[in-house]
Amino acid sequence: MKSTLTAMLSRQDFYTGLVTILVGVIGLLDIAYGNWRPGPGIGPHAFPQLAYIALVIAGLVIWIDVARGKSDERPDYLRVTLSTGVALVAIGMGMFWLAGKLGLGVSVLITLIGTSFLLTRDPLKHWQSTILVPVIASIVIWILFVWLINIPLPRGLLI
Amino acid sequence: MFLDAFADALLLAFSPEVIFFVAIGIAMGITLGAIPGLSGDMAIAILLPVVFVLEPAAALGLLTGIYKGGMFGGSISAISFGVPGTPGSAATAIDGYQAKLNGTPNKALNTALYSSVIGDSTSDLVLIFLALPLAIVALTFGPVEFFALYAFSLLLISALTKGKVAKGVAMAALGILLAMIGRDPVGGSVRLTFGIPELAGGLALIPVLVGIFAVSELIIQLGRAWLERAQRITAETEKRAESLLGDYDPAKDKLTFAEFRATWKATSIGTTMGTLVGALPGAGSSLAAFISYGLAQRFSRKPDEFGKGSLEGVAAAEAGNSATSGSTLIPLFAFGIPGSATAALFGAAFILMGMTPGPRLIYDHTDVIYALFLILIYANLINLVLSHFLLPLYSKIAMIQSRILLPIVCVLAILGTFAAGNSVIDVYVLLFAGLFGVVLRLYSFPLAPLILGFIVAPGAERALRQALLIGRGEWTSLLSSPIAIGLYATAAIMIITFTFILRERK
Amino acid sequence: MFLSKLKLKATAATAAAAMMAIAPTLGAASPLGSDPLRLVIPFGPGGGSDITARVLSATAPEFCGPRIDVVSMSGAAGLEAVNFVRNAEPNGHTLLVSDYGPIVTSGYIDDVDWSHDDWQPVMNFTEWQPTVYTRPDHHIQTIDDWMAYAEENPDTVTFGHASPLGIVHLPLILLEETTGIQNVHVPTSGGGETRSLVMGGHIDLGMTLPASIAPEVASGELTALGVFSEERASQLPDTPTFRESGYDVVLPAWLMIFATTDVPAETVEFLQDCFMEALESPTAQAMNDRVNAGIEPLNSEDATTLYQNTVASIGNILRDIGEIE
Repeated sequence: MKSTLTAMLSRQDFYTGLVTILVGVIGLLDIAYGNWRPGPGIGPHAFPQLAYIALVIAGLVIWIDVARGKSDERPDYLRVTLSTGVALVAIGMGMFWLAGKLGLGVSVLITLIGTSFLLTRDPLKHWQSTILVPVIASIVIWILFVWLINIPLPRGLLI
Repeated sequence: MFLDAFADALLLAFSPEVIFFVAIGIAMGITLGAIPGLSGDMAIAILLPVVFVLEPAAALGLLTGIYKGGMFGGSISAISFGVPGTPGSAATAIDGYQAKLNGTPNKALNTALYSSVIGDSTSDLVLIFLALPLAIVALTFGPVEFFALYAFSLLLISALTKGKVAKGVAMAALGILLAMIGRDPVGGSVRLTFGIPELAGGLALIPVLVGIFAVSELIIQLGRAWLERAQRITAETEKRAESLLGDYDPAKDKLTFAEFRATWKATSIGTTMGTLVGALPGAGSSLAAFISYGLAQRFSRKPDEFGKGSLEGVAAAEAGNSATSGSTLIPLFAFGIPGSATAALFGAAFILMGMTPGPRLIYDHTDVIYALFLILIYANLINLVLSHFLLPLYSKIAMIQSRILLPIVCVLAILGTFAAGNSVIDVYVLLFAGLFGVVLRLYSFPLAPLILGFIVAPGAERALRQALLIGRGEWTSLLSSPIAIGLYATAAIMIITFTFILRERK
Repeated sequence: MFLSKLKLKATAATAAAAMMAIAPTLGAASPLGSDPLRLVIPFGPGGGSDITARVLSATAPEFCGPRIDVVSMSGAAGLEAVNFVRNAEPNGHTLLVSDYGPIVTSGYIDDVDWSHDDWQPVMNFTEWQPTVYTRPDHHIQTIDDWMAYAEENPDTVTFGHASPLGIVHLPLILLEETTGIQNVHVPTSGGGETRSLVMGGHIDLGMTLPASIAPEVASGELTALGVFSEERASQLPDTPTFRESGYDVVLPAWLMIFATTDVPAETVEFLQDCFMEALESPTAQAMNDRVNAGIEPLNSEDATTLYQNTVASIGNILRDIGEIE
């Protein structure tokens, strides 16, 4: 018995199941005790409640699968991928912020050159792909979004 | 009388100017549709003022071209980068991108093109010849029937989960919860916003869909590109880095007739479902694509290949979303009811040209409407020809090294999503949805059920609550319509039969 | 002959497409400079506000100077558009085109960091008369039919309105407050859904604005019961007002152009003048007839009175139903 438990604890999906159940339970507690305004008919909480119940059940089934020895593998490159994700969110927001200061064209150019340098070994040697391509892409993007679509972003100092 | 009008319409539709604007529209639509976040709808909204300067036929030709081009363009980035360019092409991304990873982007793109054109043309013919009868059927869809339809599509989720039913159900539930964020459509109270006032309007479809599906894929690819750079490059990859293209062999990647023939069943399922779902006000092209995909898998001889680059999967999804393009105009033509965002824009275009959408449209403006019908048909041919020349180019672009291409696609996705709703919040939603999608992918949660849950939930909730309000809170009122009973029965029969068939196969 | 006309139009289109991208040069004479004006609408594209705003954007550049873009921002239920205009530089280049929902109603019920006094009307396009309608084979065909039936059978008549507390829902609430009748309120996703539910026989009554049902009413495919305004709607001359039928319920909706109060008075005056002038031009008049927008412009002063009255009356309704303190 104890060995099944330790086996379960070592499985990836034990934890995904746990998180799934937790989200469902917290949600159900929120509906039971949180500040939900009643609405006409079955009320605004009926559908979320159904979804939370589905989450709890799904989590339990994931656990049953784990107990049967069925689990997905631990992900590869977890840290690299997650930090890339965080970096992309930061770069994306940064680009957007910069667009309001320097203008869309410049901030896109900086973003593209910056990321190409990050992703290319010996970036200066491959200048066609790390500098020339970003310059062309920025011009095309500027023409499309500023000149043709005229998206409502604050115009920056430069273009 | 009819012949006179038809002759006028022929002259109008096939005048060089109109053909020119249709072609321009299609080229623009394909290009814009291929940019994640940007869709034909947005381009139509921006170009709506052309109705003030162009003749009606030319203006309608331009808008039709953009719409049709955009519809297909979305599948280009879905297949090439796993990044659906439009909401309708999300289902196409599932198998299309796998096909590209298998080294056959061209096969997938051509399958998408042909099934898209077949679905679209059929739907246009239905619009032209069967608009009124189908519109009357669409009107019989009230809250009770819509809820049955949404419940039916949620049941198809099991088809999208590939042996991970528990995780699939969890994802569908999560998708439903994400769709619940914001104002309750019935009572008006705000829910699940975590105290953030900007979320009161809810999450928009495009940022969630592009974020979950596309940005997460881009992050994973970027992570891989970063690893490649950080680790020592071997001699082989060094060599590959010098040429712009990888080791892609176009000669091995031609769609044969036999392969195309094998997708016909999937295409016809997609065409039928897309035309029917498109005619229902409010259902939408992404739902049509997912329903078609699910059904095609159920009826396929090789259901196991779905999700692994099946051309049938591409054909069903793409025929399904394109087949909504003609039929979505049916409620507009028959009753003046805009059934989708696109139909609303076409309605606005008609109104701005002084033509009132509705049953009299065709009598009051016979020549223009017949011309539009002709344009709807021949635009598909132009789309076919133009795409035939553009596709080889696009498959080459898709094979450009990721370190060059990925940043550009990311920037386009961010700007495209912003432009689609002119909303800064949408950009934040996009980025965080991307991060969230990465986590889900890492822990092997299937993403398609989440999107389906997100698409279906608002309509399902509204329909259920409307039905209960109208039916005085009696749950039995949900079974008060033969259409609804039919849908529930079909779902039950399908589940039972397929469980048995699957068991026998094993 | 026909083709040559088409060609001319095509050239015009190319020119217009070029103009869409580059601000016209005649902007130099205007105090607004040459930067484009933005009319921001808090709704999705293609609706009545969009169409009306486009009549102005197509005609006003000639009188105001710079080109005019209609920008649709439906995010956060329209509040994003309101915030965008509020946070823009106060130079009169970014204006809000809205009905009372996102400004007056939201100002009361939503958690916003502005008040009703932060907005000044530049002009009013039109007054929309919310209209109750049904299908012609329904047993309720007049206001009196409805009142009599609803009094005998409270809570049975199903009534489709768009989003709760919107411009085609508040008049129903006001009517129920005044007369004491009770109906089943069925929220829908908008005018299109309301209409298909009414036509398909799923609900009894619906409410919408005259322009969207006028042709169907004229041809007998829909019946308009009554309008919630002081006078009849020009598009529906045969439809009585509720006041005529003895129920004093008047709650028209308007479509106004707003600037924030920190925009200088002379800029607002210039905008008012050139917009009004543009809307009186023959081109705009013809366009207005064609799209059935019912534009009857009011100047800034009259629009302000209308705005303040609406703020007061919506406040009263919301207080009566306990939505606000």
